[in-house]
Amino acid sequence: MNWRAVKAFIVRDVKTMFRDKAALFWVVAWPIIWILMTAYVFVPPGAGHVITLSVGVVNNDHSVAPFNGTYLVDLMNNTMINGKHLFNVEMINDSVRLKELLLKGRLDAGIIIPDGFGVNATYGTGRLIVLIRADNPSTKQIYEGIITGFLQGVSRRLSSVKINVSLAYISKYMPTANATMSLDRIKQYLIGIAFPINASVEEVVPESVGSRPAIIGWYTLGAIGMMFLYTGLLIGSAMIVREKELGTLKRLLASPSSGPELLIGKTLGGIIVLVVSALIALFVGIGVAGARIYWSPLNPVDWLVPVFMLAAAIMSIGMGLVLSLASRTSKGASSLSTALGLLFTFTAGIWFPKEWLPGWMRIFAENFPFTWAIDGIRDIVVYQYGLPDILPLFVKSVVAAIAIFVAGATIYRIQIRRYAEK
Amino acid sequence: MDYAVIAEDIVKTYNSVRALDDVSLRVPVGCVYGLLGPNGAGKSTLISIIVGVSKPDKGKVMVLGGSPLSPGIRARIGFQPQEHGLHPNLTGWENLFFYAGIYGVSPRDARDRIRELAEKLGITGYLDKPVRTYSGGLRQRLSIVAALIHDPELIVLDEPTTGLDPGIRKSVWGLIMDLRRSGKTVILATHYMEEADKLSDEVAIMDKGRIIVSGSPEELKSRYGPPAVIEVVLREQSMAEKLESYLAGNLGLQVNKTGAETLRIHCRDPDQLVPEITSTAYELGLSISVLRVLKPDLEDVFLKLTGRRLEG
Repeated sequence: MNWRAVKAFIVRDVKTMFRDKAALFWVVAWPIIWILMTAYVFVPPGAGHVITLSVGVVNNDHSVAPFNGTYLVDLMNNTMINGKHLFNVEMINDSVRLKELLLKGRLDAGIIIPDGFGVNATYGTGRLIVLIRADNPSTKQIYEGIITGFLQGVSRRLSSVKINVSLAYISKYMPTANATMSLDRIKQYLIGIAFPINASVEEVVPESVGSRPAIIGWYTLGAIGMMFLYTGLLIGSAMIVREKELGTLKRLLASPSSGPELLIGKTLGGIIVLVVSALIALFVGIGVAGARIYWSPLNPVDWLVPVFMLAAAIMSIGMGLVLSLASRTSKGASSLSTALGLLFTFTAGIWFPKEWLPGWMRIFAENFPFTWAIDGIRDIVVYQYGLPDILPLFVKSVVAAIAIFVAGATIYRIQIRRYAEK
Repeated sequence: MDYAVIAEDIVKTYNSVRALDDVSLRVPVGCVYGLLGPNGAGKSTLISIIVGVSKPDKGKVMVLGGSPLSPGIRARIGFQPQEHGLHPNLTGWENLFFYAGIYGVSPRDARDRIRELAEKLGITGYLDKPVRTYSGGLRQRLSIVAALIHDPELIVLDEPTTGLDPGIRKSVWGLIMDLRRSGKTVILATHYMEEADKLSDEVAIMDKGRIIVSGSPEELKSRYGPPAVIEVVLREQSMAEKLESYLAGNLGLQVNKTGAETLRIHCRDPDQLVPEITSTAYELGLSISVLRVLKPDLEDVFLKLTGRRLEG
């Protein structure tokens, strides 16, 4: 192996990559844009605060009872969490108008309070009609959860009041009850009827994604994954065709460094470009967007992160080499790499968490080797995995990187031979 | 005699077209060997095989005593392809240092070599500029320097002076002569007969994938060329056409139109033919601007052998 030749390829490719405006955009500017967009658009500084729902209420209730439609609306108006109103209530005259506003997206939910609701709720069961805007499955679940959670809370309070009133009646009109069962016992029993299960909910969030800086850190890694993917694909897919267009390939094929030096030199050059870009992205993520990434040089497991990154880079370049079969020009290679890179970024759990993806797409994401490497990085710097937990993914990623690169190198040899014989 | 290149019965076919058809040649060490032929004659294909870029379908090639596919042999060959093979976003220095690295030349040696070669070709002042700002001629000269950076024993130049103006072409010729003087072997593919004639110790004339003749330029001219050539330049194109049809039709001469108004007539006895041409022109009312008797060149050899002109 002529290492001077390998160095020559590395120096040339790194220099030319950083002098090419289009390449600079994709390698440096694009991930920075994504990180900043994540920080200030997707996870804005106010993220994590209470969501205020716009709720339209049609109150047809005219009950004269301690609890009625007007009381419910007052409760809605006065419910606050962390000093922020949970609902922005808009009174609507009729249910047709309410539905119209929901369909137009001007309201998140609607409540129709029928006449007699107060009387029914006080002496029996009050019926309500709740309408949820369901144009987005994710927000629909959130809105539904907020409304039902609120109504369950109201029901709970109402039940408590009704139980206390019942107990007062019991002690007054059924003194014999005290003989066999204490009032406390009866109260417990009635509470048990009203709330057979009392679940306490406790939020368990990894420390590293429990705050906005940590969420931005998660997405910064996603941006690096995105950049690694399409830049690696581009480097691999254009490796031969670009040399051909520059007219350098024939000259290189006639040189003593036409074999492994060309492949290794260009791959290492590509890896250096990716590492430099990743460092820039990390600098912007941490320094500008305020991302928090848990990585310590003192923790030996954290040193697997650069290895995972290397595996990701080798995989993407290897996949690019396979793609070179379909690349006739460097423009074609660029378009193909960008299209596939973006497609995989959004469908393979690199940018969006896999849990957000539809079932069939999740299967793809679970089995996409590049995602293993990115998951490995996140498992270490986000979820603080230990060595035994990360080892299977690490082995899988490294083996996949080697296998993909060997496949790419085979394609590369075929392509070189094909060009020479043209 | 030692040979830098021995090729025997080379056949190369691309998509059922025979690019090389039983080509054999021997290039002696220390000579300038011209490969002369029109575009598409097979020169570049033959060169690709000699420098080890492609393999022949049939036949055997030995370069510098070994296979051109071996990295050790390739390291001793300098190759300047028709494509310049230079990166536009790198400076001249950077491009040359890249090729120095590819051939394993240390930066210090490369710097000295680049300075020397750049001086000879007059490009020293441009080496700090990006290649994208270079003219075609500058790129061509930088490409030649890149081929010589590792001081190779065999230098293969594919159309090195195409697109260069006459002054620069002369400087490239000077460099080729220097290489020969220093004992290097040069294979020079060209479609300029003057270049092959002036620089080559031996020439192989190629056409349609075959070497039709080879030998020293003098030998080829004396063996295959006409005894003399008369060049006639007329005032107008129509006059040239009229004279051409008369001389070929009535006198049975081999007349070739080498320009819009220029005819090149192969003959045995120019003393007898010149008065005849002038009197014919007078009778036909044609006006002659220039009439001169020339020695035959390789163009005439090619014309004689193929019936076609070499330079388009």
